[in-house]
Amino acid sequence: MPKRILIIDDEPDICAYLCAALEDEGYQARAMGQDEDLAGALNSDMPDLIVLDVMMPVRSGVSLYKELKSVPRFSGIPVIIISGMSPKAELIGTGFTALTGDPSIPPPEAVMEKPLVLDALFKLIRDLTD
Amino acid sequence: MKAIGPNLSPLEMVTLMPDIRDLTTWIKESLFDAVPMGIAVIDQDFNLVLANPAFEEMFGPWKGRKCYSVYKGRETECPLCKGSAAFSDGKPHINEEEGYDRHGRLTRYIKHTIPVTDQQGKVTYLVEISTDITETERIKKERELLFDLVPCAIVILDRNLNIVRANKRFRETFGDREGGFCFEAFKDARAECPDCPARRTFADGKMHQAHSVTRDVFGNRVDLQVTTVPMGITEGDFEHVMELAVDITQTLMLEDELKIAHAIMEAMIAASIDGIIAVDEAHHVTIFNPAARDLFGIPITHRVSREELAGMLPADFLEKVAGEPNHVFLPDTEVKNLSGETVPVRLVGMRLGLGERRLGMAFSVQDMRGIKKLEKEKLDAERLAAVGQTVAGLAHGVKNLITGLEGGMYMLSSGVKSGKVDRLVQGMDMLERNIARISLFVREFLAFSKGREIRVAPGDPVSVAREVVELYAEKARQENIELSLLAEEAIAPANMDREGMHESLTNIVGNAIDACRMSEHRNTCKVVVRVYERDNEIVYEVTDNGVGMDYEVKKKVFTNFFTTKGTGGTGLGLLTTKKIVTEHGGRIEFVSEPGKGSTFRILLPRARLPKAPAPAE
Repeated sequence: MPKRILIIDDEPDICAYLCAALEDEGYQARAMGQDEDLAGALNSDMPDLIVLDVMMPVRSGVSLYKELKSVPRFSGIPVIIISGMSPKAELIGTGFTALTGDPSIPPPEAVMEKPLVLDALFKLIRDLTD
Repeated sequence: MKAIGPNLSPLEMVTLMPDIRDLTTWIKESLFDAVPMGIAVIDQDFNLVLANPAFEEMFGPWKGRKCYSVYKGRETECPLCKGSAAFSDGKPHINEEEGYDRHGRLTRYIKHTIPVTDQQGKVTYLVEISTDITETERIKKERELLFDLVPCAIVILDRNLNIVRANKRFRETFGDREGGFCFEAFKDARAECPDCPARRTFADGKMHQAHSVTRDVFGNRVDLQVTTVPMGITEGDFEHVMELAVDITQTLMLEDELKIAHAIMEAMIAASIDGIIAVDEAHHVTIFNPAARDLFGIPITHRVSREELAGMLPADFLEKVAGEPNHVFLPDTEVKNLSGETVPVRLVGMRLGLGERRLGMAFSVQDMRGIKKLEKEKLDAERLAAVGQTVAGLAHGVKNLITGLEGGMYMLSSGVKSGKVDRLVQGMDMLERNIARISLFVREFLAFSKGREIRVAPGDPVSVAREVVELYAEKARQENIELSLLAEEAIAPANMDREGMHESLTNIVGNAIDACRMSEHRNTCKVVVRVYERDNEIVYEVTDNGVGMDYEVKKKVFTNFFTTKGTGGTGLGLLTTKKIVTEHGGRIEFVSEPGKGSTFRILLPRARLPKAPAPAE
């Protein structure tokens, strides 16, 4: 059973790119649409890992992340946060707490900066889904 | 008529004789009564037997009275009767007496007592002649008082420069020096001073002056202004000189202090880096320090006339300062230097006066060229910093674009490898699109960093907002967004770069409309544009109830190439807006709440608006 990966990013090009690359790597990848709501997307097709862009309009990546981690059914899904804007320091430890404004929210399993290096991404996904 | 004397001939004598006869008769009969001195005759029992009218005038009624009663108001003989001495020794006496006049007032008089002897040589009567010296005594006493009370030390010197007499002041200051030499007292010297004024007065009989320095009895230094005058009743003949010494120590000290204070003040004025100018009541220039000369470009040899000064200062400034009791402060004005060039300055002017007296005006001029330069540099630096931040934030925009390009390349190569044509198509698409975005990005960024020269002119602040609202009216209508403008009636014209403000407002209003479009309740979205003036600041306010911004977005809004508009835009919009607003001396504020909406505010303090260039002549 190929692992299922859910991509959440506002840039359609990035979604297409990652989906194609992950498929080639043997994963089942899909991107979440702008208008889809998180619960709906997860309930219909529970992924094994989520790749989340933290800087997005409308629903910010942070609020989505908080939603993810506050629902027990979803909180176990490993999340890789990708970001083109924030330096890594802001996404881990106290930086992340400042970001979420809620110390009870655990930090993500991994953080990656854009532009993504595919091999590194694949390795991370392997480690987190095994 | 010739006088009777020894040189007369017998004939002359005879001719004159009847006069002599008359004279002798007159002397015998009338002299006694005519003499203005009191004459009285007393017998051995001190009875007043005879007295003239002058005596009665002096001492009052005397007939049948004793001498001691009339002279002294006594009932009995005076214990020390000086008169009786003449009775016994038969010699004339002169005494100074004190008695009471007819008014009962104390009188001083000189009494000459002349004995009258009979044929046997016995003194039968005494003739007493009294001269009232009360007035004389009074004048003498006054003179003595004056001598001692006068506020200068006085000594009387003889021809050897010995001090014959000294007044109280002298004695108090220099001690008891009578008999000593004046140079010992006044100069603490052993010998005559070479320029002794007393000597000179003795020589020419004229007044002389000199300055001498000595020590008083306490050892303190004393500066004296010495004046010598001849003391004599007859012209040219005098044995004494009066030397008056006025203590000018205090005066000299004050003069000295004044000199020092003046010197310090002069030094400070000369050293001041600000220009200091002073004029008198007629506007003639009295002070024009080196800093002022520098600022106005006036060579040291050139005296600034009042016309020149009036021409260099702002129009009516002199009049304004003269009419204002407090100081007049112009924080940001211009003056003209001698060559007619304008210099930005800070100018303060105030009236000078001492009580009721008007003393003219003083001005302080501070050269603002350096500060202006710094301000411009600061603005440049801020722009540079904005660009710098931009460069740092370039990462985001570029990262996405690079990822897009990488994605495109991946699609192409995997399409080629797998033969999946749709991947090839998608890949080409991605490459094309992202390359276009990069081009746009680079162009906009170059335009931004190059900056546009702002063109400032006075304009109506409200009209710019109106134009922008009209621009978006159609689009808003299409999106079912309510777009409105609320502007205050009377906002005075302001100096602005119209194009720049237009662009700024376009960015902000555009963002607001986009926020509405992205919002969940997009059909009830409103964008309100307000223009008003508060606290001397012109304010443009754009409020929307669209998506709002959360913490992450708020942080990034101005600092880098952030765009929330997906594939459109490069994010430079807000950054450009910030730059334009900064150039107007203003600032941008915003508040935003996710889901509730945002308010952007551009605040332009009137005092910081850029200056419009002078109209071409």
